[in-house]
Amino acid sequence: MPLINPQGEVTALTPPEALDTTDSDITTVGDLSMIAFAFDSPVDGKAFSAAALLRAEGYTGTLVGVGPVGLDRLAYGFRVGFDVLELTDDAWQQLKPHHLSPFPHHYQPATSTSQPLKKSA
Amino acid sequence: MYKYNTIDQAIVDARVSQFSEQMTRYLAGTLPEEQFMPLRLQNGLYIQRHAPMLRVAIPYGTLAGYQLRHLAQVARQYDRGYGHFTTRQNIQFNWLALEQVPEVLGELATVQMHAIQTSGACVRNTTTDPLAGTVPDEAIDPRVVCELIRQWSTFHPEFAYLPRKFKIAVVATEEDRAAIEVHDVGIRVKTHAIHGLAFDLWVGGGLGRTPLLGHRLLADLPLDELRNWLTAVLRVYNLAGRRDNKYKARIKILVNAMGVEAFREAVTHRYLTDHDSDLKISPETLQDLGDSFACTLQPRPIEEHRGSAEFQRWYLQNTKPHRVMGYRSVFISLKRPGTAPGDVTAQQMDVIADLADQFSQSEIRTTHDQNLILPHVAESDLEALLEALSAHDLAHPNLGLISDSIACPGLDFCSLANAPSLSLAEALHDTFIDLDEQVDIGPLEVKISGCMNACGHHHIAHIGILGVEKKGQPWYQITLGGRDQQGATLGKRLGPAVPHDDVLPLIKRLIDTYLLERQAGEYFLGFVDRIGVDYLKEISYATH
Repeated sequence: MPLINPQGEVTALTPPEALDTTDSDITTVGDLSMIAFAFDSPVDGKAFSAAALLRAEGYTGTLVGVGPVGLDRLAYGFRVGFDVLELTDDAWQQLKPHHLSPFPHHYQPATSTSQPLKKSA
Repeated sequence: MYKYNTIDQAIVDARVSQFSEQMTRYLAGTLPEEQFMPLRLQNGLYIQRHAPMLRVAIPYGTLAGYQLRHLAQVARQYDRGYGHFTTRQNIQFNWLALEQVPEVLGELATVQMHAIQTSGACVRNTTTDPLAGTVPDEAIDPRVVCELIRQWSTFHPEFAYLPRKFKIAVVATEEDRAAIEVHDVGIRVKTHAIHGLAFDLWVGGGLGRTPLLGHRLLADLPLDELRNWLTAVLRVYNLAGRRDNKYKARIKILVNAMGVEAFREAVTHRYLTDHDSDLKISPETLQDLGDSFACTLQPRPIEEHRGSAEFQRWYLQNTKPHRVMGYRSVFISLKRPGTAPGDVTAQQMDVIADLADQFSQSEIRTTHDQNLILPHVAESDLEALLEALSAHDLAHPNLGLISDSIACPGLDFCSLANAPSLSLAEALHDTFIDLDEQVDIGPLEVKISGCMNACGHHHIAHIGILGVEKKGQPWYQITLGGRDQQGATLGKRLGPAVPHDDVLPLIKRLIDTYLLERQAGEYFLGFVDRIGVDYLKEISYATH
């Protein structure tokens, strides 16, 4: 199944076996050049925090999200620091630019943006 | 009132477009129900017993007149001419057509309203003191903190798919009018000698199948670090919370499984390790938001009211003091005979909006007890206001009395319910018809839930009623002595469940016993505390 980057392009990566999300500690996995976390279902969001934590702690390798991510969660995944996310073939056929960036602004800082919105009101 | 800037408006408009596209895919069959369900829930859209139900957010329970007027228009144009105010300060429409929901959301966006995160396993609408900004002893208007949380939690990329729903409540007074101890996270803001403004944080409270009071996890922390601490709590929960069993997935279960000390240690570790300076709240932000909520009222002479007995009763029961001399906060009871608790017609919404414009700085509040408030009414306008409210069945003077009961929609609407709730609320009116008798009984909170999910908050009622199913029939368990403030306590079960028609006779026996045996100045709750549930069990079940 296609692995999509933040521009919506299919990449040729071969992800490693997914880590347990409780291993999102840079002291134990920081040496790995590529890490995969699995989304176990369309409502499972553990991997969002796992990725965000690794990025917050300075992980600079490649982060891959596998499993039923879905079109409507791509933007969240890229914002927390995933480099590529898996889609089904059907979802890939339906992918449109707005799925990658549905909102023009964000209230939160994110690892994918170097200039997080600082909003006072 | 807080008003959207261009960024807020752009985000809400984009959400309408996003949901419209999701709905189009769903209706075209290219988005499976399994994937659509979390998306529609995060937009407050349920598929209920009769029709789709849309829950519209009323952030921190504050509405402007023009917004309520727009809700009336939605009720008229897309629903059956009424709306239902909920215990979490939101409003629900019960009879929408699925394909029209995006259009409704588009209409709401024109008046800075939405259904964002009113359901689903995400951070829900933050609730607060419905009297915020009107009471004299606030450390800060708590809506300032709620708005900060609203922004921080809206479409948060990490926390949109939590193990389960996540509810936050905020107060900024000693008195807790938002039930912070029965929320996933409760926050009390207070003044602090060193920090200026600080907060205490409770975690792990909640009702539902496993009712628990929260633990005070953190205390005396500087308010400017609130969002970093919330992020730490949510991260621990998102990574370690259970997802294998929805009934074990709330943060309260995790806190108890880990133990409070271990949970505190984990949260503190996350806070220290992942602290983000972008989340720090600046004094300017607090000032700007504070200004946006400020309501400038000039003190006025206190009126001596010599109105009718009707006025005196309404004044004593349904109005409360205001921090500014010469003003009162006026409660509009939505618990009237013949009407489901929390229901308001479109015409009544229009009337309330007009009265808010005329008498209350265009501001309306929604309460946890499914009532409304006109928060800033000059005493000199009270008689004119009462006349206008009375003309539209909006002046029922039963605030805080036995007929001012909370009830979930129950079996009449909800696909989860085991038993009807609304008929019992109506039976309370029928049983306690005389308002003088209700006043004599004194403050008494009755709360009715149609199933264990406890949307009617029965656990924290003086008299709680829980609908259960027994051999295919609705039966009801009664609890006594619950409360959500001044030492939150979960009610104790009185005894075996009883059938529908026995509930009110049982409550009547309880009340009769109380009236007979109470001490001078003792209210029902104090009576229950003093005399004990075991004794009352004997009385209540005397005929069974």
